[in-house]
Amino acid sequence: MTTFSADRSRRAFLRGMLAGGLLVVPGTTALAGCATAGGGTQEQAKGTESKENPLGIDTSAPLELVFFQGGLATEMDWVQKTYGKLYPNAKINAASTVNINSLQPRFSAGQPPDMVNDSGAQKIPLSGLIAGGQLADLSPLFDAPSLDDPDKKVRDTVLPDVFPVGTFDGKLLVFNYVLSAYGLWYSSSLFAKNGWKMPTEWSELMAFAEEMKKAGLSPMGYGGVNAPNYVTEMMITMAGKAGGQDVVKAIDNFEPNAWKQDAVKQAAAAVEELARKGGFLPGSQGMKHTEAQTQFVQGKVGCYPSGSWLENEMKKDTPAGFDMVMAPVPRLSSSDKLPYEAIHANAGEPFVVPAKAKNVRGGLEWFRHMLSTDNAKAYSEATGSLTVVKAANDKLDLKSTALKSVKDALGKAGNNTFTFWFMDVYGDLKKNAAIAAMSDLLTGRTNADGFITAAQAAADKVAADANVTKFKRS
Amino acid sequence: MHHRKYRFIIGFLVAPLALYVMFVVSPNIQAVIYSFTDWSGYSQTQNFVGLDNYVRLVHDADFWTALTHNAVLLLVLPVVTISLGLLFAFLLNIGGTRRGSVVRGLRASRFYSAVYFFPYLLSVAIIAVLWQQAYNPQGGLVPGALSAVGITPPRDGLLGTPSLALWACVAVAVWQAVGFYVVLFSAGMASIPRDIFEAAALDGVNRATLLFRIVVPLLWDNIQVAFVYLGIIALDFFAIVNIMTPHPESVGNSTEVIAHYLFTRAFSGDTNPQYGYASAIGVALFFLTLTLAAVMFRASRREKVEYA
Repeated sequence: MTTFSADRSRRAFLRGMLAGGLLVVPGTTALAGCATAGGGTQEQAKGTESKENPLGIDTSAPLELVFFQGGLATEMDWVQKTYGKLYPNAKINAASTVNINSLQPRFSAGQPPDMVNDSGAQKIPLSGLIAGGQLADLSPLFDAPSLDDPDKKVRDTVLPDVFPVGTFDGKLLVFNYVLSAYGLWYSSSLFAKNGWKMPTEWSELMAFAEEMKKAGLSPMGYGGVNAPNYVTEMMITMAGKAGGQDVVKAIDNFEPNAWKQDAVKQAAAAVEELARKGGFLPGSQGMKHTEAQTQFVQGKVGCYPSGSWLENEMKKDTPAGFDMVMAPVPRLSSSDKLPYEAIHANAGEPFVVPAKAKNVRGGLEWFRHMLSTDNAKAYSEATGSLTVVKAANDKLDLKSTALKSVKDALGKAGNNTFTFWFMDVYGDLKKNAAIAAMSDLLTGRTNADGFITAAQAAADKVAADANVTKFKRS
Repeated sequence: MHHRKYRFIIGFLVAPLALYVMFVVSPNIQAVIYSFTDWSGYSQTQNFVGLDNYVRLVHDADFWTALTHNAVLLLVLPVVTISLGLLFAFLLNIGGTRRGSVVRGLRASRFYSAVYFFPYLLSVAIIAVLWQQAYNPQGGLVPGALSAVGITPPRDGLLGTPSLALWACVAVAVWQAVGFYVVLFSAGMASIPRDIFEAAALDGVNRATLLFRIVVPLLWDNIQVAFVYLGIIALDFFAIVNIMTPHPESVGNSTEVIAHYLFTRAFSGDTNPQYGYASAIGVALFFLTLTLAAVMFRASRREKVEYA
């Protein structure tokens, strides 16, 4: 009953398919989407400059906008209105996506949209766009008169924070619209109920941590699966406060042994101490940031290091009366160079105009409209975030405790705000220092010395990597 | 006459073939071409750099780590999934109580088949998100179940502990895939003539012998196909890893696999995009998968039983 069968036809068929790669070969399917199309640079729309139209846009050229559909999702209907009112013949095409990276083929084909809100987990890395020469110079916009007051340049209506984070090798290429501040978040109602006050120095925080534990709370939490770098953010801020802005600039600029500066070492030792003494919510390393933040808004975690978007992000899960507020991170010691009030703040949420867009001038003009006082105020009201437009922030009627605390913190910090970009611009430094080494530190797989060594090694590797374009910051 | 037949066949094949060449063959060829360039993905031009990307690949520790994990998956995933699939299919179809020489499965076996198959109907993304919740160290189902049976769950969570994270992902993949193979093997078992089982029953063969000496050899064709499919899943393994541990470096790179490493180099918003290098990784993966399939088919070629 047993017969030999070579089963030729099936085998031959399968082999044929293999040769053609029909069996879905992992990885290559991912690459199937990235073919470069031909095509050159598009003709750029241009009109006549006038007082109403200082950038000289073609008033009938259509404008294509792509927004990120995330925590701050909006297609800015109010801006569309003012733009449309001034240029009724210009058709506005707005679209939102969570996957900004899906625009990649359009960039490589030289046919990108006119304005992109490059944000989210699937954003296009700015370094790629900049190195590829894909971003238009934004200085004409900032030198143009503002929409509100023709005698005032746009440059003078925005906070100075816009410029350092958007300038790469001396060229202003990225427009960051939202003013973000970072610190330690807590529930003001919970603190009031327990008679607690947020400590201003690390040694006090360590003592306070024990008190929180007695009350059944974990002192701090984080999402280790995707965002242990929030703790890195806190650590670098503490180092910046202890040693001054130059400490963080050295890290951003790959100065030799930047991670081995005393202030950085002390900040790493502080994080190690808190982790060693069980200061972080058990299991944090195995949680996503949203899961850890849920523990926070449920009152199981005392303080949470994060940025000013936290309230908005957790809106659905936060019980009424939680009254989330932000405080500056504590100083390492009383001999810190910067005062307690100093905070990490920056202009965030990047918007860009692709250099090869059909309507570059229209994209810039769109930004000019975003920067009018009323439009910026409307944005803040819709998203719960401050913008870089000074006058708009002053006019805001603040109902949320979180936004109010952020505004207060910014006011008290005054000139003592600083920022860093190594995690945003240099992916491998974020990967190997801010996430990998920090995860090891937080879980006790390494100590502060081990963290410093690993982070410095990661920085040295990026510094020596010819495939990574380095930018100098001021 | 023959001539006309071929024209007829070709007429039907032109459109699918054109689509195939355009959407499958040409991107693959393009990927090979890009792998010899320094293209970032966002410039309109690119320079040919010869074998630079491949030289870099050979010296890239992260790539080797990823490759090692794929190799481990290749050993573990098919064996575990097929073993479980065989066992369940056997129990459902053959392993039930025997009355005389009548072979039957467990009671309510249809219900169990449906239960096993159900996860296969869900998309991998949904499953990964689901299990992410189940693994949550604070109040998740799995740590809770571990505590209930007296095992202390790991402090940093299953997805936060380097020695466990990959296995936590493997468990999810097995959970999803096993139902399909239960159904596949059940169908195979249904086609085995009943008189073989009757003869075995008359000879007083126990269940283990029945499974290993009779069922497995007769299902060998099915098992071989299962190995190839599961091998390809093991060489990919992107979706589960990317959702459950989007940053494998947070668990000491213990869950990094080649497809995810490729993704990191090309598409991840966090790293500097290097499509040229990523293409080289993709090409390496392509040949690995091709080799696997070729080896599997050659190694498992053996005589086939035909029921007269």
